[in-house]
Amino acid sequence: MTRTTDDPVVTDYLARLRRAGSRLRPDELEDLWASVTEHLDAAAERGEPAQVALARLGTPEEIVAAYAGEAGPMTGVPAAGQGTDGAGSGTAWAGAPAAYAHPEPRLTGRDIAALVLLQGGGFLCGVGWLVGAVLLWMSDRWKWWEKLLGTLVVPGGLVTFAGLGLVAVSSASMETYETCSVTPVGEPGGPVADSCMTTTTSASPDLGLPLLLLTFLLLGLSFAVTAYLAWRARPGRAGSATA
Amino acid sequence: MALSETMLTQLRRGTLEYCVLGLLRSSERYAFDLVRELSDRDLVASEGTVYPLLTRLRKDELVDTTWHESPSGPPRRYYRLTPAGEARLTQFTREWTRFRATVDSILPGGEPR
Repeated sequence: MTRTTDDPVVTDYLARLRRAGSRLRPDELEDLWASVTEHLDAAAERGEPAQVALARLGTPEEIVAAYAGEAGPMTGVPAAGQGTDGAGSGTAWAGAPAAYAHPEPRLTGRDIAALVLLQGGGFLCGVGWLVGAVLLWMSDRWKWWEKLLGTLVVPGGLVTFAGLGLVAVSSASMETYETCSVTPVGEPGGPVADSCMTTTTSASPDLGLPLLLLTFLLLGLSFAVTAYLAWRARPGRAGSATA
Repeated sequence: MALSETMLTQLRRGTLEYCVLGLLRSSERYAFDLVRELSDRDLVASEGTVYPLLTRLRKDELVDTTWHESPSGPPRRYYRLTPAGEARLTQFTREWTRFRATVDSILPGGEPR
C-alpha cells in the first residue's frame, strides 16, 4: 500500500490544510482532508514525487477558500476568490447554491447502534439483538461476510454469555464435606487415631469448568469481532457497498 | 495575473462543473483521474480546488460516489453521474450551444445571425 502521509513535505502540507480548514465545520474538513490524502496517495502510486503532486494541488489555503466558496454561507467562511478574479482557483462558481447537505455517510449512529445492540441488545428481551442484526445487514459499511460474522459470533451477544456463565457457574459450584473415621491403634481399648478426609464434589464435574472456559473464549471472540467491525467502519474508511 | 488568464478564469468559473458532468457522462471515474484530466485539459489551475466542487455536486445530487477496493492501496472513490446530473448536463448543453452561437456571431470573424 502506498501512503504518502509519512513524507515530511506531505505531513507539513496536511498540517497546513488542517490549520486553514479549522474555519470549516469538522465534517467538511474531514471530507476535504480525505479527498486530498486520497489524491496524494494516488499520485504516489503513479510514482509522482510528492512535491510535484503538492504543486499541482495548489495551496491548502486556496483549496479551503474554494471549499468555502462552494459550500456557501453556512460554513461562515468568506468565499475568497468570489467577486475577484478568482486568482488561481478557477473553480469558484458564482452560481453555486448555498444548500448544504452532510457529506458521504461514514460511521453513522445507525452503525454504532448496530454494534451496541449486537452486544447488549439481548437484554432487551432479545429483540434488541434482532434490531442490531437488522441494522448490521442494512448498513453499507460492511461486506456480507463481515455481517455474517457479526451475526453468528455470537447470537444474542452478552445475554448469551450471561446465560452460559450462569449455567457454567452453577454446574461447577463446589460442595465440600468432611468425613472422619476412627481407627483403633494396637490393642482393642487402646489409643485411637482418627483421620479426616475432605471431599469436594460438584454437581456436574465434567461440565462446569470447560463450559466456563468456553464462555470466556466466546466472549473474547465476540468482543474481537465487534472491535473488528468497528475498525472496518471507522470514520474516513470507505464503505463496502460496491467493493 | 495576465489578462488572458483572468479571462480564462472567468470562463472556467461558469463552465467547470458542466465539464465535470460531461466527463462523467459515459462512465464513472476515479476521483484522481477525473481531477487530472481537468487539469491536463487546462480547465483548472489548481487540482485541489476541484474537490470542493465535487463535494458540492455530490450534495446537489448531480453526482454520487462509490468506493472500490484497490489492490495496491486504500479504497478509491469513484464519481458517477446521477439522473439529475444527466438532466442538468442536457439542459446546459442546450443552453451552451445557443450561447456559443450567439457569442460566435458577435465576435470578429463570426457568422452574423
